[in-house]
Amino acid sequence: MKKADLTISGILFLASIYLYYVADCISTPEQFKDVGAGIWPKIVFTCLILACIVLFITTLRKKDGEKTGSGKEGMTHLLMPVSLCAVYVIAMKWVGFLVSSMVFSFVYMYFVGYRKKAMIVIISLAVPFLVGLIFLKLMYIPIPKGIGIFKTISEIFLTF
Amino acid sequence: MIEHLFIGFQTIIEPVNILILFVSLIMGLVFGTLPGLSGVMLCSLVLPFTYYMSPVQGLVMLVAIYTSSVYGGSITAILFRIPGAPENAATTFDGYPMTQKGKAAEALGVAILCSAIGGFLSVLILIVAAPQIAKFALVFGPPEFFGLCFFGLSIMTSLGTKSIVKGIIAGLAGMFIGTIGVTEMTGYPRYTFGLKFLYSGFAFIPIIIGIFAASQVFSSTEKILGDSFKTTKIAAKFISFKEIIRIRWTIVRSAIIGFVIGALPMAGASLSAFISYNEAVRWSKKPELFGTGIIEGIAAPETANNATTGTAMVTLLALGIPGSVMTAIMLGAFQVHGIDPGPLLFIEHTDLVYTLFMAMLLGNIFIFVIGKTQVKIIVRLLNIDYRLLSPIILIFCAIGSFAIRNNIIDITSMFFFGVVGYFMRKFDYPIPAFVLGLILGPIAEKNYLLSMRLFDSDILLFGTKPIAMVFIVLGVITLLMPIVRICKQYMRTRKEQITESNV
Repeated sequence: MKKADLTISGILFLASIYLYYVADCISTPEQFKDVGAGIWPKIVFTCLILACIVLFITTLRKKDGEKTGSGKEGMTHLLMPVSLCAVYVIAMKWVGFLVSSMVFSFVYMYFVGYRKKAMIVIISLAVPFLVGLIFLKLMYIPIPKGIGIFKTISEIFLTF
Repeated sequence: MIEHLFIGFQTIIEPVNILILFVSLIMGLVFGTLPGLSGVMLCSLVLPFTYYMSPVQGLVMLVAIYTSSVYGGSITAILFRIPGAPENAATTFDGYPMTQKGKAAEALGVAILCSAIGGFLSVLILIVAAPQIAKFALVFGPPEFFGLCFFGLSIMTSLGTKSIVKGIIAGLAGMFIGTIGVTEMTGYPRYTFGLKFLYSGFAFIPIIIGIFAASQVFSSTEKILGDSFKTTKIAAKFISFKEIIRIRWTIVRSAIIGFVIGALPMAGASLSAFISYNEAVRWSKKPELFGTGIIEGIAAPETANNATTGTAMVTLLALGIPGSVMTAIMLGAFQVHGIDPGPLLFIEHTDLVYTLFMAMLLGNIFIFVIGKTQVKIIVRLLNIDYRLLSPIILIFCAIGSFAIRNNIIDITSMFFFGVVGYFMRKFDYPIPAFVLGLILGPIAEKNYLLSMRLFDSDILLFGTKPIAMVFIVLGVITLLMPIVRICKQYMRTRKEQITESNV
């Protein structure tokens, strides 16, 4: 974990210097130099650079093996939910909220080890349908309907 | 005044009015609870309908929605770490840890009780001292607001449970995210890197939903897949009278903070929630327990954010100036009926004003009754298998983020910040500090720049503003307090080591 803290503080330090530079490049007329768009980010990044230095030094001074976090145990398990969410968002634009949410909840529940098939099917169908209905019909908030045939499917579902 | 209140009471208990009050409270509760939906949204939706109602009915509807939506957001904040609105973000700090300890019912009980107390007292203050508070509110200019925001931001050192510097880094990172997009003051696009969707900046709600709720689902999924997920037995125990007495000063202090900040134009309930949480930490004998799931951590923000509801109406009713988006909508409702709020309102429409007061008082009592009855039912949600619940939470996160601007990019940013939040948890960077910087950073920047324009770029002129200076000094003290505490601890350990080696 000491390595992680050193790496994070190093990356943040370099990023802060670059972002400070970006803020410094914001052109501001001379008379407005103290109230321009770049002044606040420059204050933020000056503090961030100092904080990163402090974190780096204090971490260096810590004894090896001293635990500063929960470790990277099982971080690989993060890959599955994150990939599913990424596919869900990309698919939503094309297939709409209803179909993508139904498939997403079905696959998610199956992946995390839920095995009651009837329940998986009921929840996967009912929850997106109800949520869509509440948002669209009761609260007049549009939901993504998708394109082509998926748009027709969404509209058929939501005409109830 | 008593006579007017009595007339107001008689009007509000008419069957149609009481029905409108009750239904609006429930609607506000639902909109407040669901992430992405808000009381402001519901008020905008129902505003056209108020045209067909009498002025009393229309305004009672808006006032009831306003009152209950602020409380509604605390339910999901406590149960699933999904704040219904930014003003409930501070409630998640201790609310969700209490749920994890199996004390969800108690946490919800504290939220209901404190919301009702905060809201009720706020209306009483509104009734007694509306014109006086309105005059005080106008004393607050940009330097005072900047001082207040600086004071609020200073808590980031106390929010890092293990490391002060990590708390500061998280807070500053949140402040940076708040700077992305076209600036309000100069119209210059900052940190957009040519990406069009960044021009309007990140919307707050998707970030808050992602960093709190989605990251929590990712962490729990990781544990489920790694067979280390523990289900907690949820007790249905409501908060006891003894505990209420124990936290009485936290409630009183937070209510006062809520009254004051609520009356300030455009300050908002989120600022009051964070400041009161900060104060609860500062005044506590055991500040290290905050963030681990203690009732004071829920009582402070929930009392304060509801205490703003009454006093937020002060400038609208007494001066005709709306201090927030919600009161601006109410101003619209007044004008639809040909009524102009302002000093003459209390003389020309006395009955209407006192009926509104009574509606707010009754509304807060109803919130307590409705809330108390629903706790046991709501808590049952937590007994559902988490493997079943997790995709449902993510679907709500997605649709809640989408509803803000009807843009899929907000869902993407929600999931992105979900991953950021996951890593922040992993490496002990406090998420509350990040959210604090995100919410207060832009307000602080705006008021800093306005102050600097006012002072002709001379920063030392802040010294000529006593209220601003009080807040800045308090902020510096809050920033330094944990550092002093650590230094003292270090000195004590060194002393002990020297004594031991001498022996």
